[in-house]
Amino acid sequence: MSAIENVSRRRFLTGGIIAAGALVLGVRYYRKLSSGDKLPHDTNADHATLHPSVYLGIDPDSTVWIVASRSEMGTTSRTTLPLVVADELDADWKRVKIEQALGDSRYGNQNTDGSHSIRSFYDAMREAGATARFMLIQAAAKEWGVPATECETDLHVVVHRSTNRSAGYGELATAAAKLPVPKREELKLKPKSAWRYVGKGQVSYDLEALVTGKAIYGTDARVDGMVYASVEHPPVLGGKVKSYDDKEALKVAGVRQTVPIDPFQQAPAFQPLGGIAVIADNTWAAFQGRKKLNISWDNGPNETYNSDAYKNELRATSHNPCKVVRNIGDADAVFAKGGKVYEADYYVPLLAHASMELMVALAEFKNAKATLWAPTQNPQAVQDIVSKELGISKEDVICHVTLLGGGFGRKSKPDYVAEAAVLSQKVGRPVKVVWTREDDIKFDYYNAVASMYMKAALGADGKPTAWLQRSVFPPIPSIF
Amino acid sequence: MIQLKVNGVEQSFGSEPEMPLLWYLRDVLGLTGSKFGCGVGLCGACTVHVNGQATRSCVTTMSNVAGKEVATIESLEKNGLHPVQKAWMEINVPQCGYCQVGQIMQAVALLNGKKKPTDREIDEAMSGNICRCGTYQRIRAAIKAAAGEMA
Repeated sequence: MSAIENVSRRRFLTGGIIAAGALVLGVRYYRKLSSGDKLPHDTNADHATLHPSVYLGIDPDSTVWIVASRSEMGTTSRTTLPLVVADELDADWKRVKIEQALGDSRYGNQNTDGSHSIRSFYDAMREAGATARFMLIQAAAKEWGVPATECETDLHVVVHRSTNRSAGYGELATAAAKLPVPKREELKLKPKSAWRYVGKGQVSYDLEALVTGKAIYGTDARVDGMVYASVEHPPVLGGKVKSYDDKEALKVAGVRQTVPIDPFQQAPAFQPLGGIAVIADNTWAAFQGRKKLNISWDNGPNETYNSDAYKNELRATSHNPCKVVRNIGDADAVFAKGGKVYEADYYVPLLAHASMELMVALAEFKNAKATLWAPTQNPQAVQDIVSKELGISKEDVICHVTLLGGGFGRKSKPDYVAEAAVLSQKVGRPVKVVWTREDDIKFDYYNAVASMYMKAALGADGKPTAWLQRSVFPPIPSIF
Repeated sequence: MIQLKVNGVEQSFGSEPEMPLLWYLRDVLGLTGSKFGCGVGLCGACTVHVNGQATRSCVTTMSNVAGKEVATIESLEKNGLHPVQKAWMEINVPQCGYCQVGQIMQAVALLNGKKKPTDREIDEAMSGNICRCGTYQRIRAAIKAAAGEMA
């Protein structure tokens, strides 16, 4: 957490905090599908009058902007983390506006994978809220000529009880912005007994949008002039197009063109998988055109891979002694005694994540910058791969994170987003890539296979007296 | 030229008669509430109403809906949220939310035809709508709550 705190401090110290006129846009950030005239990486929080942290800004109209830097895919962390800020700030939740962060390293790690958003960012959120509250109290105390220790906060106001004075956060924002940002050691977090929101139950900030169909997932992102793409990937991972004929595909109404995508180099490592993209005026036309492609493939080195043979190999390996990672007692001696001994083989197949929302991304390559809208769990990984694929700097890759219709770790891999970016560069228009369900199941970054051999002996009381377990699986890095 | 009504508005479509309604709604009309989940009518995320019946728009072609009335989630709010939407909020049903528009459209069709469905009737009506987050218990509770409101 200290790293994140340092980043925000540095940002503060190098300026960019006190914008002259606060920008107050009454829209939710993820619905604003244009970078407009602002610096692309800026948030409304950045432009707010009081901006002591990358996660937070307060404007004179009392609006509290809180930045959600983690991706939302159904756990409500996009609500929960801002709620922690609001609690520590004593902010009125009704006056909070949540903005979704773009991919940007100033937020620290944004890879929303591994179920740790709350654990890892809880302290940073508390500190962001406490920092602003500290400054608002100082500003009020200064104005009233009373010691800050006599002032406290109530809902969205600073109060001095003995003189019965109070001032709203909006009124205090300008004065507070002129004060130094307190050091972490100066902050006093609220005691648990004073928590307003944490642990009290709160629904998702997006709940109404979710039940009205207004919520914007990656699949719903739209920009003017965009075209749709469906990609026929090599049927075997690592395969290449030998030759292709798109005559019939181009006859399909709505199909505009076909575009080859280069095969990936070495391990896939989130690169586009290659193949032929069909570009069309709508998703359906792209799907139909794709069916009419006639492609001859060079299947490459994985052509002979056979899941059954690989499974048998793993199983055979598990039947022989392996590297011992844990050994307690002498299981072999117990097995040698005979009695009730059981043996079993277990196998976990390749598993696709199968999120309800398919892999989809919208990319607009213009003026040597790539702007992306994607249901991604890892917008900084999007920046990395897109900058490599397009040969532009990471700063010129602007990744908007939409809501995710499920992620399960699959959407932390940005291959499908890179695919849209590559296509937009080649086509010269905004391109939305839409995978089919078949694509999703066939071209997933699968949960790896594992084979297990187990052997157990049971005593007279039916309880195990010895247990042998061998597990064989390819290591995770083998995927990358 | 195919004539149809979408959310009460007359529309005509002169392009591909085989195009599924889902892509017409999403890509041509820009009504993105209905979702693409499987393309073969197996998940229910694309559910809309055609002449009042819950229908999988991903396998319903434009020629199928000629002369018919299509209603999507975007038409559900009339003087505020529909009772089913209110119930969905009251029970806090959604997680990722992607399937919920289809779930809601299916539930509205169920309740329009049956004021007080039993658990079994609810399960039967809703069995074609998949939720990867597993919100099924809350969906059933919300349908019961909405049934109480609509009765």
